[in-house]
Amino acid sequence: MYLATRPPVETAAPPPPRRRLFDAPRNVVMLGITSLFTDLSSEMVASVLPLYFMVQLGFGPAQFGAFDGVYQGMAAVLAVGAAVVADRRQRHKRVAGSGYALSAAAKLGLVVAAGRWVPTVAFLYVDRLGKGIRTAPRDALISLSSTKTRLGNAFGTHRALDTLGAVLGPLAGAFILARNPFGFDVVFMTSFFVAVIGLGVLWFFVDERRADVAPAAVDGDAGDLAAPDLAALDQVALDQVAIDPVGEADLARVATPDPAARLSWGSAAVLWRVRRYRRLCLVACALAVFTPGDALLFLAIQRRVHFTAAYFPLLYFGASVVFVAMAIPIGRLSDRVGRARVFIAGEVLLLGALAAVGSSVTGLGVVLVMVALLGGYYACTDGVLMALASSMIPGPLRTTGLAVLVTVIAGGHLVASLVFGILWSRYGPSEAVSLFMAGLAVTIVIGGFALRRDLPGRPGSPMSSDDEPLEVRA
Amino acid sequence: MKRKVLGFAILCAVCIVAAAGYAVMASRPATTVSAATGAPGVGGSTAGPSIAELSAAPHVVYTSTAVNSDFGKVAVADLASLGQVAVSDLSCERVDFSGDRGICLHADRGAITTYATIIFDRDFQHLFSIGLPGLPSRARVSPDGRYGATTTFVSGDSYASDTFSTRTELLDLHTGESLGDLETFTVLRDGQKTEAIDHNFWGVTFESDANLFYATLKTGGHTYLVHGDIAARTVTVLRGDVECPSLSPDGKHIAYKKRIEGDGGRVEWRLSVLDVATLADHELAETRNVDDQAEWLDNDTVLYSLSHAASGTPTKDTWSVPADGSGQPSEYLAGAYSTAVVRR
Repeated sequence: MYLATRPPVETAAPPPPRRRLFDAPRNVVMLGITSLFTDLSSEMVASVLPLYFMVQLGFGPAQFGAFDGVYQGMAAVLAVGAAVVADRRQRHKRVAGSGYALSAAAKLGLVVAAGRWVPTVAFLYVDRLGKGIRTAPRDALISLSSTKTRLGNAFGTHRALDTLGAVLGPLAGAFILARNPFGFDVVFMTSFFVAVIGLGVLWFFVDERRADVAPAAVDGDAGDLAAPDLAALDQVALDQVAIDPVGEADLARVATPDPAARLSWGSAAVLWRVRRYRRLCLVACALAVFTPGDALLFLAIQRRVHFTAAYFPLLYFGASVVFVAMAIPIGRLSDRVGRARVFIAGEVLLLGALAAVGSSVTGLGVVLVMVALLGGYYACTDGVLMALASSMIPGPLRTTGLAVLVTVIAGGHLVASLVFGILWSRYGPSEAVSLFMAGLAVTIVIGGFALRRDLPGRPGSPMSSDDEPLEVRA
Repeated sequence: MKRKVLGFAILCAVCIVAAAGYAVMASRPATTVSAATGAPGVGGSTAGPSIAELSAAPHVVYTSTAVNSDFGKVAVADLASLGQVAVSDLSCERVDFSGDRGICLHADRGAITTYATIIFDRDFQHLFSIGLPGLPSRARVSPDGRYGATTTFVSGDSYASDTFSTRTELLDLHTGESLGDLETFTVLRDGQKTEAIDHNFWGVTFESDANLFYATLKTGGHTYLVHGDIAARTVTVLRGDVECPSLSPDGKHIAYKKRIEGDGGRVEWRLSVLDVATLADHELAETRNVDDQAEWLDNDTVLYSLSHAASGTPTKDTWSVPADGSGQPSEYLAGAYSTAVVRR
């Protein structure tokens, strides 16, 4: 069990040179294990849904498609609202926990719905709402549990565990159905109990971290998550805040800590005036607009390299395994060479995956290359982007900032899948891929320039740059 | 900390025991559930007439969907009384039989579920097995057993649109060879070749001359009835809004599902029949949503399947309704799905 090998709570930077598997704060590892169980639970259900809808509920593909569109969008519905509540009260654990609990309860609802389609669909939507509620407070808690210089490592550790759960989920679902062909209710019930165990890990082993007592601040890591009191922040002239670069050190200097003060709703607008963060949101959204969904990429490559759709789960599996394996090393790398640099490199990997799909090469090799590049892309962008954003967002606004970023990206992805679908049916799959490649390449260049000031060692990069290698400062 | 670990250990133990207990309970549902459906063959396979005996006279072939040990298996019942049933060991998502050949769309379930077309003969001997590219949807055999057609869903679920596409393949049932994907056929419309690339075909039904067939073509968001010629490798567009056609034994009528907008904008299908000579259509007395390729019991009666309402099981029943739009639907055979009528 994990507890036996738990590393000591970090006390001071620089970190010890030894590198363990989970060389991350206990809270981060525990959040990772919570996510492992929760993703195991969710993916177990998600993987049997198409079969359940068509075999048991008698849905046609068109009806399932309509359900799936709303289902995917559901996560964005409450995300920002829940994040504002989490920031306002500085109760990340409680808000995240309510999201996890809602999803767990929804699994039980699926059992109770017993194959009637209206309650089944309703409970599945509730499940996704829960996902939307929990994601940003959880990521904020990860960032607040870690030192600023090791954010990449912390998010990498969490994403490795999280994705491991997503890999195991479909296997568990298939295992249950293979033993009991009518066992959809067994899948749902098992999923519920797995979700409860995940909730238990959160409840028993994850500690709340308020922005004003973040360990980084205790570490004396200059300018880190030191808590600008948001009530005071409100009084700061907004244009002063917006001066670029605004390091957290600047915010901390002007703020007078007052633990009793609470974030006011209007002060969330301050966030948008932090220029580096605003720029990151725009770049991430623009990149998302040129990122077709995995399913569409798999369909496109299937057209050229003939294999049956039955093997799609294997492609997801392969990409996820690469993601799990690379998340921690790449997270650590991003702490050393700069998170913006790794993030942009990840987008280049996606460009490579698109090139593999669009190339005229056939054979299994090109499919394997695409899957590996896609896995690497996730490892370089998913957690690393959250780490990069966390380093720019003042601690008391962390959850809101991350939720807005994720929502903006989700909007970009929605546009991408709509546009890709239209291009596909009008011009064909390879033309759609080519157009997306061109758009992505241009956006990568522009985005790289826009984020270059966030790279370490650049003139004009903020003194308190979180991307600054620890070794340089030490 | 110790107290927390203990608390968590207890929680885990309770969850594991409860989940395992539920799984064990749920793995023995057969007696209660199938009693509720009242389907034939409730107790699983029982001693009775053999498949060969039943096949000698007119009979029906179907996939048994009563929740018991025969779930998913192909069964044969005598056409006269439907009371004599024999269950084969062939398990199919969809089945059809005509002349001397049958087609079975078979699912091999596991961590990776794969699908195959199994071609079998009168004795239910497997002759050929051919891999399928997606989820089984329709299977049809020509009246003489010479040719067959399979339709599968090649899934591509994306965020916001139904990007499901279908693939329909024609087979020579005596050689086991493919006659090609219908998407490779030339589409003729008003005497002209069409150049659209988004052709999707499904629901083939053969004429008594197996070279000729009808099917549904979807292109540009609309569905059409097409008439195909295998030797010429062409299909000709006849009219719009026809899905999953099924030709009557005398070749004069086509039963099909007509797409309508149901409650709350949900897509639904109404069972309809059109006259092959005039292409004029009328709806049948069945007002429920029928998503099936119909079958003809005789020249006046249409068979189709419906989910067993709200039972929470995957059971489907076969219903019948007069083809002229009169009368009322009535249950034909409980627990039977993909029913094929073999008149011989």
